[in-house]
Amino acid sequence: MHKSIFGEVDGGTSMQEQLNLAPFGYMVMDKKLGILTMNQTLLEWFGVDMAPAHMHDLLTIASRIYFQTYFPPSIKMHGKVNEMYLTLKTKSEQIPVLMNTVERNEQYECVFVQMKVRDEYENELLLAKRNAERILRDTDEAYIKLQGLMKEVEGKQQELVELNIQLKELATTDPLTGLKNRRCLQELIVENIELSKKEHSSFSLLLIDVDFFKRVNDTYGHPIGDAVLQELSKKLLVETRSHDLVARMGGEEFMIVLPNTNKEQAQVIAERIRLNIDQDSWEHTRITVSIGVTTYELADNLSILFSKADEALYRSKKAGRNCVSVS
Amino acid sequence: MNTHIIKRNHINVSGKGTQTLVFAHGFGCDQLVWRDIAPAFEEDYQVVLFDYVGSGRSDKSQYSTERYASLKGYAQDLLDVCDALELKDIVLIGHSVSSMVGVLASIQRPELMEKLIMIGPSPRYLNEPGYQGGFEKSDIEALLDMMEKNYNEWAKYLAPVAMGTDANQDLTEDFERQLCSNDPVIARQFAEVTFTSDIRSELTKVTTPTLILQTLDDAIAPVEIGEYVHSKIPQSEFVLMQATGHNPHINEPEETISCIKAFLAK
Repeated sequence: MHKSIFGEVDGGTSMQEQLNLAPFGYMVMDKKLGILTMNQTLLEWFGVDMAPAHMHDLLTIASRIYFQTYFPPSIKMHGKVNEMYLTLKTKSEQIPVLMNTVERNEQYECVFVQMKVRDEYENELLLAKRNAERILRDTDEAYIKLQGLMKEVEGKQQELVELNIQLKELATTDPLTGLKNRRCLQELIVENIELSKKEHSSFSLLLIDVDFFKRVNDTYGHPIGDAVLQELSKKLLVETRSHDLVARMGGEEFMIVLPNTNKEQAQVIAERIRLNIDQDSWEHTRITVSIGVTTYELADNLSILFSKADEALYRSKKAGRNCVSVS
Repeated sequence: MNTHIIKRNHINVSGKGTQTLVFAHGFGCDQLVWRDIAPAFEEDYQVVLFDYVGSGRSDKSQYSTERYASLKGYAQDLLDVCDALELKDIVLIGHSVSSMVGVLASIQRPELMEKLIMIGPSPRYLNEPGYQGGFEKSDIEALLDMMEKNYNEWAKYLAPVAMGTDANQDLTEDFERQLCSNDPVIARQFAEVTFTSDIRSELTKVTTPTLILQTLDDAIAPVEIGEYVHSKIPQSEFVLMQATGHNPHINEPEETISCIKAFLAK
């Protein structure tokens, strides 16, 4: 029975012959990796009649490096090597194989199994993995770049907000006195009209004009004239409450908005301002002001209010200046 | 003694003697490759074994792709090991790429190294006009692919030995998993650094007496390359061994030991 397995198989074919033609490469080498024998199948893969001299002769260059790096320690430690992936180099092609080796009787017996289809499959997997890694890397880089851009945009946005605040300040400020300008004043009066309508409240306006200002300019020159207007602006700010608004209408004309203030209250305030300006000390030259007071009444609009204030101021001028009139 | 480095590089010190032999492993392995060599010197020398960061049982968390992007990083590992143990006048035995790591270290600190012993050295693996390193860029790329496809397999050969032959199966499997999860990226970079480095211009600067152990049939560092190294290092000696292949310290430990002893005796 034993003999029939290892000696003769089916009507006279020997196991030797079976091994010779089996669908795998079989090879024996010495411990210096010199090839002692190989089966017919392996010879046919290489298209040769005689086995090459050395294991290295069978391998691609990359496989040689790999083999020399990993085979000797492994066979030394375990007496065998399992499933080492290598590439055989024949005259016509490269054949990916898995190699198993076992050390027996001071020799290495090796079996090679071709894995062309599987190798292509693995190559594709490897390629897909590389691509995935590359995409991941690119994505990371793009993300970092995007974060940088977003930071930049945020910075620019902040700059814009600040610029807008500056611009708004510039657009609503009178450059000479630093007071609010006429445009801002008008907007605020319109707001107050809306508010008063809604809340059935009232507000008042003081239209203030410097008396004989032309004389100041003519006597001291325009720079001093400007300085007087600046000094007056400061005094007006001192005279008013934080929720009042002091604006320069243009020239030597100023207006003060007094929210939640009725006619009588406004008149008292106007009189106080007139008196304080009259009696205050001045850096360059003493001046006086005439004031027209008007108070919002239902159905008033911006231009009605302005003309009411104008009319009151006109009466103060008529009355000899340095006085207060109420429309 | 710097315990951080001792742990980081998994340093093992043995033997009795005043002079120290430091063994440095090559690419693709670790200090275990010296197990048939190192014991032969323990009677007369202090013997130091270590793993480069990223290899063997080193602390892989200490690996950084920047530091180990060139052989300088590996040379720094070697110097760190020597400094951690406060070593002087060492003999370095470097296999393969560690020969060149030794070159860099000896130039940086000539006083540290009394002798340098190279096994299978090559200062440049890539072919260039006028220089045959033996490999084209495409060969190296094919090697990297091959490593990747083989990775899970070669990780295994170290495991049982590293854990001791009697180690129980669970521990071994744990260790394999650890290897498998940590190594491929590091091994790939080590391979890239090894096979693309160019140390040729450094060789003439070596002042340390050097032994070059060369074998036949070394597919990684052929005889011509060993002779080239010999021609460039002023105080060098060239020995062509009986052993074949790139790993005489594994295949022919006895011959390797006697070659080293003969050189030490000089």
